[in-house]
Amino acid sequence: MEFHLFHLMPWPALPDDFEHEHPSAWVTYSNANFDPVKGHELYNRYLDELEYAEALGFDGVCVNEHHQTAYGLMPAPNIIAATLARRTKRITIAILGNALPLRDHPLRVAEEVAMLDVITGGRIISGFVRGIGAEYFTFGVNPNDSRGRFIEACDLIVKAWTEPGPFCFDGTHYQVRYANLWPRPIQKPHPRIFVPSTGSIETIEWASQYHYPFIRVYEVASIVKRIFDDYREMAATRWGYAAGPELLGWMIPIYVAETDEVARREAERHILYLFHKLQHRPVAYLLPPGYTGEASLARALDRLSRQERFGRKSFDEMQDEGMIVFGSPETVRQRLDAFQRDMRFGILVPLLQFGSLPHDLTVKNMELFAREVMPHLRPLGQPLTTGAVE
Amino acid sequence: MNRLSAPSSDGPVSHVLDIRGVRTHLQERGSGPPLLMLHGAGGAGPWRPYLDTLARQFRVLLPDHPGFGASDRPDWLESMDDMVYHYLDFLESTKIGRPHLLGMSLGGWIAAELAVAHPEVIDRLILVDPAGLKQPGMELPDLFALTEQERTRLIFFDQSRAEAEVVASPSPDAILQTLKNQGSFARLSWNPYLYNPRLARRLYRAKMPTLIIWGREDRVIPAATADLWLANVPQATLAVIDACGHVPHRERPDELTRLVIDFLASA
Repeated sequence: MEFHLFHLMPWPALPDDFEHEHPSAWVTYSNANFDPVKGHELYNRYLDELEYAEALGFDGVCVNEHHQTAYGLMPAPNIIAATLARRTKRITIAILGNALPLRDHPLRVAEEVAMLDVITGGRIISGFVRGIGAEYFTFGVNPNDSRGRFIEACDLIVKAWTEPGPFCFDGTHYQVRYANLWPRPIQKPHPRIFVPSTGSIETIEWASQYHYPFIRVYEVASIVKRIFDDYREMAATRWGYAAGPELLGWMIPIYVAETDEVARREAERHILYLFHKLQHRPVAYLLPPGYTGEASLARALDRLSRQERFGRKSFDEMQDEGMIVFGSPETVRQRLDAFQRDMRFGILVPLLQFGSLPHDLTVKNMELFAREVMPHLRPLGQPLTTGAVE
Repeated sequence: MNRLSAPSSDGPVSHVLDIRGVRTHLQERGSGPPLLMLHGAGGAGPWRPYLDTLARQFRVLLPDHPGFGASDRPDWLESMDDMVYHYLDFLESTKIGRPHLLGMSLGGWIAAELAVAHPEVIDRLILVDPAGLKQPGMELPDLFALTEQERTRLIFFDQSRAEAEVVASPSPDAILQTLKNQGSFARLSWNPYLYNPRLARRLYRAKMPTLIIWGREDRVIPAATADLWLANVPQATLAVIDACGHVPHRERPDELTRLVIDFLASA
């Protein structure tokens, strides 16, 4: 099992009545509420937490991209990755991910990730995402173009990383006369590509074609299992290979404390802050017209109707359904062990700081997880295939 | 070529035309000079009684745009240009002659784009609460961020009328139809939102007699936008309907019908 510590760098200072007084933590919540002085403290605190993961024995850390929201303060994930590049020596840095369709030029992403890969000596994992629906409102990119731009940008980036330049690229969305990256990445054939996604059919088909590890974020365990099954089935029936645990990852909020009671007492309100406040937004922001392919529309509507209920889900419901795993080391070990044996994933992406969880509890959580949980799970989820990129 | 059957006097006739490979749904009634109606982003909707009134004097044609209603959504539909070419193909294929063109909201924008690209194919032009132009800096409500129920409330001035039309629990088919219309609407209008920055400078080409109609209480595209149309369309006159929001054909159909007939009869 690989362990990649995830961080969202959330804004932790939304008022108690936020979800009743404001329609959304995304798109329209005014940046007048962002305090740059507090932001300075937060960035440095959150970076300290990410850097500490190396000493604790994690395999890697993950940063991500979101725009114009209190949900996360990393609109430019490559900048965060750059600050970590020389403060860490061993761990991988996964950018989960660059939101390709929102960028004007894919080659800029290719260049930045190649720079990071060379600077770190090959410790970069390059995630590619489409960006969530809300970000099509903030950036004005047509959601109808989302998937086309995503696939084409990926093609161009991988080609620019792997083929000697200069070459020209004539796409529908991007036309480049001279693609000729300086520098090229140090990893061969290129940095690992992770695909964090909500699990649309189209994305599963595409990711499984290229053996790109698929990372599912926030979902009840039974649905995550179904999506992993979809990936395995697609790999077997469509592409003719057995997808091993090394191609399937799960990002899940986890909190470990001395006992189940202490875990809940310390962290319940902080996880509710994540789901009730930071994910507060109208459904329209998640499903802008054209964003979801027709093959996945029914599934997306089902997901959204459930996601609408995130805002009303109680702590107990989230625990019971496996959207979060909170408890004593023994409880967390047992639950994750059972989930792994049922779902057969090999990449765990624990979210150990979430919502308004303060620094001291975050550090305590990280230490307990690394010491009491990680060693137990480490032997699980051994690779089936080489995971080689074709 | 699509030869339309003789219009019936009993009610509208539905056709499914093949316009260059796009199955295109068309409702039609009446005889006389052709009056081509271009619907707004919500779709053509049902055949409403005001269309019967118009059909007493005109051959009223109400197609579903490609990507809307019961028409196909072709992959090539990406922009207003594509829509203009579709309607040029439509006119060639149906051989209805040189119609009066009436466009509402999004349909008004399509009508204006067609009128500047090929003014020779149109007789008179009527734009009802049209999209297509925008006063710089004016903030418009984001229709894409609203639910269908919220949109219904927004387009009416009279909220009791709106409440009567709000569907509390739409069927799955209705939801999918709304998503189809919205997806096509977004292809045309996501960004720039509801306007084409190049349209104003091209409107000098629309030299046909033109009537602009606006609901005084339009909260989607404010009636003040009419000033831009008047400033750029050579032969435009304006009629404002009081106590009316964005959809005069639903909120004040009698007033709309009277304005249209008066204008088309004034030749």
